[in-house]
Amino acid sequence: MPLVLEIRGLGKSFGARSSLALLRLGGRRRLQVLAGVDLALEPGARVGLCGPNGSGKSTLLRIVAGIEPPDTGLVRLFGATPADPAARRRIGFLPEASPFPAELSARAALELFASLHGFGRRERHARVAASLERVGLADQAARALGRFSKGMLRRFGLAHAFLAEPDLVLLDEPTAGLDAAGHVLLDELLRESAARGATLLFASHHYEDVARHAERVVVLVDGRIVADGTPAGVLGGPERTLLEIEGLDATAIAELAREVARRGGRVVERHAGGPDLVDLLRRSRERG
Amino acid sequence: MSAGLVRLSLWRVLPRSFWIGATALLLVLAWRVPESVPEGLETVLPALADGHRRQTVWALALVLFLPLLVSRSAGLARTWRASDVDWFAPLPVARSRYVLSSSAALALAAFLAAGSTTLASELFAAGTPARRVVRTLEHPAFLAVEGHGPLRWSQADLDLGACAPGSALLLRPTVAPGSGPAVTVRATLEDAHGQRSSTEQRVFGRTRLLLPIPAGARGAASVTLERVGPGAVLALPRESIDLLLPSGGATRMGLELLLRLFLAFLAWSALACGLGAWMRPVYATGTTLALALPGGPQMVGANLAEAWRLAGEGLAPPAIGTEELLVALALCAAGSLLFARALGRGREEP
Repeated sequence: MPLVLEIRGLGKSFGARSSLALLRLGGRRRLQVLAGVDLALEPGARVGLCGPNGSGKSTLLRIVAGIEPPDTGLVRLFGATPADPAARRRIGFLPEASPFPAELSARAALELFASLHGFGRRERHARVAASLERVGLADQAARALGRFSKGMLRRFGLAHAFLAEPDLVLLDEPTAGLDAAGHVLLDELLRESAARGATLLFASHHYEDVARHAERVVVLVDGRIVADGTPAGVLGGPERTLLEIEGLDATAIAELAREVARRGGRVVERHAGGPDLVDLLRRSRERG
Repeated sequence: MSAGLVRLSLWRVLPRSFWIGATALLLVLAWRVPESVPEGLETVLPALADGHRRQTVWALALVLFLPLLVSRSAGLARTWRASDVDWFAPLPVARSRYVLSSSAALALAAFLAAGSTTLASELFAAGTPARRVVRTLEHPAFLAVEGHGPLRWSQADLDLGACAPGSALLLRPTVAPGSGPAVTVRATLEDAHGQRSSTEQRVFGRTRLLLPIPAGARGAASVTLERVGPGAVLALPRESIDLLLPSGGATRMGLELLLRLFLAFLAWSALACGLGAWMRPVYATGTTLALALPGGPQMVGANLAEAWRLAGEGLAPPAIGTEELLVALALCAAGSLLFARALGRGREEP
């Protein structure tokens, strides 16, 4: 089966900004962001990219989306280069920041994106209206994006990413800035795209996101892949199972903890947020 | 090219509210200008009031539009790198479409700015047929003290038969410093067959004196300049007589001014856009504005400063030359190329 995405030996570095950059004077320090990354995605795969800040997750997604050119290595998107418009027609990308034109209304911006996708007038109007309705922004369609809150911009970003029903969905920190309803919306959108057979590649810091949406986890540290496998295999096996407990008071939880301890286990209380990748990274670094 | 992208870039370079406000301000200024022309002066040279209006409106237009267009154009590449690349690059369209749309937006912004300026300067114009300086005539220098007789000479390099109806001579006599404030002068033009035209005017400092060429005049011209009554010492330095030919009406003059202003705005915006892609926008803005200042290389701004000076004198500037046109187009092309090259570079920092 042809691969949706194939990456081999991908390398990328950035030059540090210098006031003499224009004249190319003086030494320019290079910061290696990705080094020798190999990754292959089959149709329908759901892959989560994990790693600490600066590990290269966003840069990897940006290269796949055709925003950044790679320095070295090979990137094939549906068998073509990311520069190929035919390949780009099949992707949807949610950037980490929300860099959408602040001057335009939500409707006008989506109309612009849809027209650049090549949709005809009638289909464009229908898609834009449906997308705004889907992400709960129909009543804000005429409002300028510059006046949107962060959460609304994330919802708009989701409308933008899923506008053309892409075969490959690239999401960079999709849950950042989303409220609970936004999380539910994201779940639904991903479920719908999975039902269509779309492939998902997303970057996240959060264990819950990765565990919920990915069937495969790739961990990037300092621009290199240090782990690649199932969420259970990479983020913790049966010996470390996450339970969510609702409706118990502190006394009941203490009793539960005692029972778990009696059976040789341990309960870790996390009232907000939840376990993250810190432990995993510590363990991966300890393993070298 | 994409109409949506053109619209987006256009209102980024020239914000809609600013454009509407600036146009209203220019119209109000143009409406009020006649009151600031000294009474009676517009009758001395009929096109002077229109010229004064044009110059005043242009001055305000340059102050309003030029820094805005240049600085906003210089910031386009930064906007691309900071935000637009993230939503545009994954779309199935080539980056050249963004470049073309931005270039078209710069052209539209320049046209709107130049159009507003021309609308304001021409809407309240009296519609006086404008004349254009064709060439400066060779003639001797004169000095006439009190009691001096008329100065009379034959203008050998002027064939009156070749001048179109409505042509005129523009004399710029003056008074000798220290000899008094003014003197009244009568100028007379006569053709080989005795047809003549005459004008009389008070000369104070360097004064414009319009001497119409009689309709149907033929042959060589002779010019007479004489003092009328007592007054300061009259002087006519060399190269003080210009031949003016009709320029084709006020509407045509308005269109020529529009073209010149449009080309200047476009060339400066395109240059700033290109430079801003490779250096900080503030440096690109400063560099471009330095080139746009009077005294800089005039070809870069379609020789706007000289056109502005002539328009202020009630004269039509010379038609835009091939050289000026080519320089403007070359600047546009260079700016677009620099912009296009920069868009392919990606970001410098992660």
